[in-house]
Amino acid sequence: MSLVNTIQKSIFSRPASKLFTLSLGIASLLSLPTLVYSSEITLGMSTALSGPAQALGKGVKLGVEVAFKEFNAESGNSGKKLSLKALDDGYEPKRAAPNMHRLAENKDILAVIGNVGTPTAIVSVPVANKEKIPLLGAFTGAGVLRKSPPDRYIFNYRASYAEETASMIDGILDSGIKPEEIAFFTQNDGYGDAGFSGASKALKNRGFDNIDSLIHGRYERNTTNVEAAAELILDSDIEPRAVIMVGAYAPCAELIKLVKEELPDVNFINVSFVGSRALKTALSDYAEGVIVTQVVPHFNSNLPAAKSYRVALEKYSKKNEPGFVSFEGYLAAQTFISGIKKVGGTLSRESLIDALESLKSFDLGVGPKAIYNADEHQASHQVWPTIIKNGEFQPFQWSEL
Amino acid sequence: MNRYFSLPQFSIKNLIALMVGISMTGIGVLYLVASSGNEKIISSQYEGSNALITESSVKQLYQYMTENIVRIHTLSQADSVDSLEKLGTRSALNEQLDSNVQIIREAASENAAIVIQLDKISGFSSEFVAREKKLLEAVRSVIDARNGKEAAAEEAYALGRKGQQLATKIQGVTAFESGKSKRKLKRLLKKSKALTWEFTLGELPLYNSVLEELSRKSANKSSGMQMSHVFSDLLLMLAEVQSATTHDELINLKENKANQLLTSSTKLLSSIEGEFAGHKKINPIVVELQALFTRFSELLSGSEGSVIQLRAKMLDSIHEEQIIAKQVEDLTGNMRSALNDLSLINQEIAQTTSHSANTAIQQSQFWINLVILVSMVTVTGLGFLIFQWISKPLARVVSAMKVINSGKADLTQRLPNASIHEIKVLSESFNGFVETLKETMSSVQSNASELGDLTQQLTSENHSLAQRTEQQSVSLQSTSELLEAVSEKVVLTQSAAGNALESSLKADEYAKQGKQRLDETVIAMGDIEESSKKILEVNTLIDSIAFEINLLALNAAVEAARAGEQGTGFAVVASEVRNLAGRSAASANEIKGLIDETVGRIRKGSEHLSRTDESIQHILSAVGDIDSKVEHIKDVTEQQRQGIHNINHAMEEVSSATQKNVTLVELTAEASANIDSGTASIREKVSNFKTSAAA
Repeated sequence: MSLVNTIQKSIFSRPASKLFTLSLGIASLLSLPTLVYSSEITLGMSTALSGPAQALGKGVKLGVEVAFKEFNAESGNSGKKLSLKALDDGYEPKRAAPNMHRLAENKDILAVIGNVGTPTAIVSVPVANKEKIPLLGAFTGAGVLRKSPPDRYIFNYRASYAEETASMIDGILDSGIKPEEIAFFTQNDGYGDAGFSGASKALKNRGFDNIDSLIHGRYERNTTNVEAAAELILDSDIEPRAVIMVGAYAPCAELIKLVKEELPDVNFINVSFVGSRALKTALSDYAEGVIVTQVVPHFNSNLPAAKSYRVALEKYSKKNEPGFVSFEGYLAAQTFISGIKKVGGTLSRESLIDALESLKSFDLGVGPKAIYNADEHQASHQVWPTIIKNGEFQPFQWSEL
Repeated sequence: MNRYFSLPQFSIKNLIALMVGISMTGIGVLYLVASSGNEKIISSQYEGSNALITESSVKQLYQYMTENIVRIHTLSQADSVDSLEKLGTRSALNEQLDSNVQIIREAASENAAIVIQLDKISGFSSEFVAREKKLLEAVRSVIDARNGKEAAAEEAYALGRKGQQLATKIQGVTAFESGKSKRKLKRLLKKSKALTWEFTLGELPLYNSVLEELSRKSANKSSGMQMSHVFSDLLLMLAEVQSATTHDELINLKENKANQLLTSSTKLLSSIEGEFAGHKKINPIVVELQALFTRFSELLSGSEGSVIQLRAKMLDSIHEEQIIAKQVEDLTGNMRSALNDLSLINQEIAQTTSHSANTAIQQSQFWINLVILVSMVTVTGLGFLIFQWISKPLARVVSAMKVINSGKADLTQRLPNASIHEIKVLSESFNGFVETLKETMSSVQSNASELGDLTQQLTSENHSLAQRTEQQSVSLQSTSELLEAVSEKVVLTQSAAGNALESSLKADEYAKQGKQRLDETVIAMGDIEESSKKILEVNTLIDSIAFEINLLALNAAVEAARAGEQGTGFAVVASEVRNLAGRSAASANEIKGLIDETVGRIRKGSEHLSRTDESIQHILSAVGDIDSKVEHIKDVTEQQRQGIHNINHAMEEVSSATQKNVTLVELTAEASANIDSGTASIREKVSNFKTSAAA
């Protein structure tokens, strides 16, 4: 009889334990939709905390964290606390995609905020859409985050690169510079493309169709191999008066140096993504007169958002000086905070999206009101040009060109 | 029939004990047969179930084996150390397989064929484990090699790309710098144009051609460009190494292509170094390039940790892995066939045991059937015996009782001897009771018949009384007629006897005397009437006696029912009946006496009547004396006639009295007849009790 028992045991014990595991699995699956976020609201971030774009990643992270600290302090002990879990992708799409998957799979992460970069965004956006995790306030103006109609899970704070370059074209042309006198220096990827196509469209709008005749130098991402592009600009039969730059600060600085040596009067106009402070540092003696368009107002301005940003930064991160990048992070965080304040019932990824879409018109304190609804997922369309004067970024008018 | 079963005397008690004994024996035997059969069946089934369990265990072994194959497959497909570690060093499945083999071995240790198969399986299992271990090592080494190679290749690729970029940078810088003078010249030319400072017409094309030459040189012959091409070749080399599938291919790549490429690259690099020795921008790039190149060379074809070396190692490991996988496959085949054999043997055992179980069931069924049959026969026999010994004798007693009850009480019948003690006692008691009853009834019968005889005598006496009364009546009739004649004669002599007044008076006196006599007769007749009444009373008495006899007969029946205290009760009843018979006899005597008295009285009456006749003779002679004087005493005669008429009338009265007497006698006779019929009834009733065998 012991034989029978032993065999029965050996037969039944395994399926039973399997069954148990299975039932646990089912139970955990069933509990998923009713997941309630604990008193701590955690947001994720996949950004460049190392590599050539680390200044941007760290800057945005700082702005977001400052805004969160400010919110946590305001909401008091009883309220929900915001926290940030940032992963490093080194501005590499190869690393950004697994990071996004990790964040999406972690059900404690409500949303992803302030990712830096266009090549990384190109891989992150599909993940966000597929995994149904909100991707908020990415530090990029690329069109991939700005589809029409917008992707449900993608929300932007800032103006697009196209809007930035378009505003540059308008400003340059308004200042009297001819379209033929405009040259382009762009990163040889989606980022550069986005900026260039925005400018091309603006030029076409202004009646200039011969885009291919314009000087367009490109460089390889993560290199400073800008000599060929510099040669192209310098060899041009028509001497350029303005170079629209869509690139990273190091190659941009390199190019500005090379070109300035031979053509000291050319205007260099960078998009916000270049990273104003890093560019200024890299340029050192060549910085004077370099123009950078911003998608945030000047951090030292008297706008309410700039004031509260400065106060918060002073309060929570004294060692860091105010800057455009961290201010953008701060503003991106503010749009998110406006969203969670609007959430009615249980806070979830979906309810957050619904809340953001129901914000309609809201004030971020940067002048014009921001708008979020089902057809509009971009809070700001404004571009603020700045110029480095006396070693500092200062507000700038295109007419000053 | 009875004599066939006249076995030694049994009591019901014994019989029941016998029946219970037989039944218990039957049940006992049945139990023994059934339980021994059951034991056989159970043991057969146990063996059968053992066989089945083993079969399921064999299936389990199959399962484990299949899972093991899957595991081996997963193992060989593993692409990381992590996933390998998840699979474990030794298969838990194998442990289960071994433990199951052990269980089967314990269960089937007596079956040599199974043990042989189990030994085989155990052997295969341990071989399997050994192979699995080797496979694990091979897979691990493949993974390690692949990982190492991939890491090295990745690093080499990154270095190659970087090298390319740096080379491009050198090329870019040289081109840019060499272009500087060209651009300067160009701008100078532009400027001079603008300032109307002119070259001679022939000089301008010369400058232009110089500018073009400068550009071409810097573009094509730049060492940076060459270096960039070298790095492209090296990256291509790297890709070739990665995709090499044989050692020969690898050796060829390393010894011919790679070494050649690296040598020429080193030369180029040193020439670049010389070329840009003092170049502020390019020199640091060259230094970086040299370090990068050294590392790249090592990564590509170094003796340890290079892509080529690791690729070779990986190929070796894959080869080994394939060999082991083949061995495992063969082993799996062997194991499968051993399991098949085990399953076949096991099925044979299962069939055999199920056959023996069937046989046991059949045997057991046969014995059970036999025992049931024997028990049935025995119980039927016993039932027949019970019928013969108990039911039948009892039925006989019952029918005998019924016969007595039905009225045809045959008291001569006797119950035969019975085999069963209790019934025998019952029969004997019944017989004794009937005997006693018979004797009683015999005496009652004889008494009743005596009574009947007496009553008949009484009747006949009565009859003669009646006859005599009849004669008396006739006599009275004739007397009356005579009186009529007298009356006529009186009428005849009326006229003649006118004077015979005296005689007539005398005659009148006689007539009065006669009348007195007749009165006396009437009284005597009344006495007779009284006697008759007494007879009636006696009659009633006899009636009551008859009743009491009847009652006694009833008592006798009750006594018969009791049967237990036989004899004595019946004796008492018998004596009572006898007494009653005596009294009946006495009454009969009394009746006889009375009848005698009656007869005497009637004689007296006759005498009186004859005296009356004499008186009338006297009257007639007196009348003759005065015949002559009749004329004279016509009137007297008339009176006489009147007187005779009165006599006549008196005679009629006598006649009617006599008539009444006759009626009385008839009534007496009727009563006597009643007594007679009562007695007859008694006799008849008593005669129902058949007291002699002859009747």
